[in-house]
Amino acid sequence: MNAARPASDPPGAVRFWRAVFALVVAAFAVATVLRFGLGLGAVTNLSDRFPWGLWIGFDVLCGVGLAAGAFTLTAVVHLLNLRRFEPILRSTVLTALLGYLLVIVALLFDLGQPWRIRHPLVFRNPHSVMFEVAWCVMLYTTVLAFEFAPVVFERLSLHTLGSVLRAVSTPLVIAGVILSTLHQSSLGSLYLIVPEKLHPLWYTPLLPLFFFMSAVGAGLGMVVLESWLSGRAFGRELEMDLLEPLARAMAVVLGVYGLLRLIVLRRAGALARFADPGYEEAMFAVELALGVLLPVGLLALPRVRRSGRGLVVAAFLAVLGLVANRLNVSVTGMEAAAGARYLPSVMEVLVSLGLVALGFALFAFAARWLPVFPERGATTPGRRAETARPVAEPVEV
Amino acid sequence: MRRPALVAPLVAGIAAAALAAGAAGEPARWRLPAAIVFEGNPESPGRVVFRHDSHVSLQPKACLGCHPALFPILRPVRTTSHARMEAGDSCGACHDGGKAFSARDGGACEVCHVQGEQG
Amino acid sequence: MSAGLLIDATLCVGCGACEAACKEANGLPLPVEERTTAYTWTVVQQREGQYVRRLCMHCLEPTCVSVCPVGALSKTEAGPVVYDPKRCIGCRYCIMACPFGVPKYQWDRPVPVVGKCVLCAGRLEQGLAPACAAVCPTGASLFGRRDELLQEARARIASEPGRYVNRVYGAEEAGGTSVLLLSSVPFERLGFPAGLPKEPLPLRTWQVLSKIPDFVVLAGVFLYGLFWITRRREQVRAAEGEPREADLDERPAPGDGEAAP
Repeated sequence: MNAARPASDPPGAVRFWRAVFALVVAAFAVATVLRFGLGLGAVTNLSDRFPWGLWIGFDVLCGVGLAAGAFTLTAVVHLLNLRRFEPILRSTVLTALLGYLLVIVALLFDLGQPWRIRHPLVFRNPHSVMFEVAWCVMLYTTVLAFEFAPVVFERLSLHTLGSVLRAVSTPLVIAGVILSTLHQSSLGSLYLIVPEKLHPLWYTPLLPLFFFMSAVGAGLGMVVLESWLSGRAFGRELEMDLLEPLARAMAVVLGVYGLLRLIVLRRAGALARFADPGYEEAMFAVELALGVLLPVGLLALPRVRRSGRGLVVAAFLAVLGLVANRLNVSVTGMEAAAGARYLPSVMEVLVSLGLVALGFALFAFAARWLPVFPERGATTPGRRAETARPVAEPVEV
Repeated sequence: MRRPALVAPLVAGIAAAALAAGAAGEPARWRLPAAIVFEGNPESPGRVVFRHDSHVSLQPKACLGCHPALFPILRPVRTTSHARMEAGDSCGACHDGGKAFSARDGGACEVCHVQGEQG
Repeated sequence: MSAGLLIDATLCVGCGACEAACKEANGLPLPVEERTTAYTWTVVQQREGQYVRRLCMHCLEPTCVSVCPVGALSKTEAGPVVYDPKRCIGCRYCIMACPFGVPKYQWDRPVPVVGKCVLCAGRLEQGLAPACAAVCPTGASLFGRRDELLQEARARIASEPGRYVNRVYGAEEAGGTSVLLLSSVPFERLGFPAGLPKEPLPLRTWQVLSKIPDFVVLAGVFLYGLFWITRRREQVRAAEGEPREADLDERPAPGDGEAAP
């Protein structure tokens, strides 16, 4: 939402967002130089007690989790054959592809020796969840690139290449769903090995299932949110007939997820903690309210479901809820065992902000140059003329 | 000469006091390493016998006063030089006339160097 | 049978010889810090009127070895858990996961590596004891075969029950460790995690990871089946002259649904 406003917006607002974007990017550049020049200790609040901070908790865990809309939607369109969702598929896949690329960039910031990021390909340890996640993320990013490539080929009129990819689209989609299921859940499995460190409000052998379910739910929320954002940016109508069922699916997934979590907590006897609530209990309540109670409650009201604004608010809350959950698992839940509080440094925040801004800019750029959105009046992108023009005239960002 | 005569018994006295008081680390349990003999070269007035028990305070982290910065702990050294001591290294880190009597004092060789074969 | 250390905290006088020897044997920079860091691999601390030494416990089934995505950490036959800095990518999962809080990072360096006690694996290969045990003047750090050390530890508790808490720390914590501890003060009050499970922690992730091959096959068959069925339904529908699903307006109107009044 930086400079990605149509020309009809007041120039003042455009100039404001461009200035914000420029500032964030400049700060990001400075933080980058310091990070690689001075090392992790100099620019982050990371320590031996808190070796994983914002870049893992937000950039990686949330970045991957919120990109889950892509594999869900490709499965809905290509495997469940619900073709009517196709008009929002391309933008969803683009969001996920950019998301994963930025996750990899964030990893380059976080790794102590980022130039060795290829090592998991050479040195293998199948007992490591991290090893599995590394492979899945690498393979799935490749799958996403292949899933999005036809859009680029269409723009460049490379029809042969496009039809080659279309021929293998089903195996690609199936591979994407399997890889996503694996690594979305494995991000939760990363924490299975610290039963004595992660707070009992979050530690459960079902962590992988919970990471997967919350990613599917909030990932759908992200699709709704992204449709609204690009609608504002490119002056398009909200596809209510598509977003409403997605929001409902999101509410069902998140509702089941929230219920399961409460049942698991009750069985573990952890609910008794709320008799004398402390810091962790408060953070858990925030997470549950944002991620489950509010969005599910709102979407239970027909009035909310009928309004575009209602869907967007519910989706936004679900997205915030996922962010709260991932930060609770990676930070809040680990603080007691670490015997220390962790708050990210300014530099850490600047890098994370910069990557988000970069994501918005890249999306806006791609959406202008590539046939990401269906042309107005067209029913499905598949019927578009092969020589489709970009939906918006290229505008300087 | 005045100072060495004073300090050497002082160190021994501290050790004895520690022994008597059963301070910090029950000296009986310390089982300090055996004496280390620095064989003198032909010009030296004689070999030097270093005794841990007259140098170690029996206080926490006592070993870190000399090891490993001044002397390796895994391979005992058996040679050193006055040149190194002058530079504040080896025995000279303490035997500088400040913390302990100076290793430079001319004419006091016999405080450290054993004359003849008696040591 | 693999080697280990028996650390009898009741014998430790806090002299610091082990700290000095560790620095020397591993070429680590001085000074000896107050707690273990990437540059101080062992440290003697005074807790509850007793000295206790901190170092890597050298788990029999190490968590750090299991979590490292590039196999930079490994448990050798001889007993030490060793680290290969050339493989390390700096993900710091080992630091995050170690139940004893052992691996430490060189936060101050632009090109950092992990630092932890390696039980002087190089000296062991030469038939020498770890440096700390070699210089210990009181026998508080005893080097030997783990099974023999465990017997010795139990024998000491049996012969002087008033001197020790009735627990050999490391006998079964997190599946057992090569380093064993005896103390007169309960271990949790010395800062050691007291509630560790007896089974090795890597089991918890392996129970999930080991199912992946089966999952991939099953999910592949299931998803392709799903695809085949939905496509087949559409083909049948097309053959019967019905409109395609995409053209069928079976979408619920916004707000329509079970919750509608």
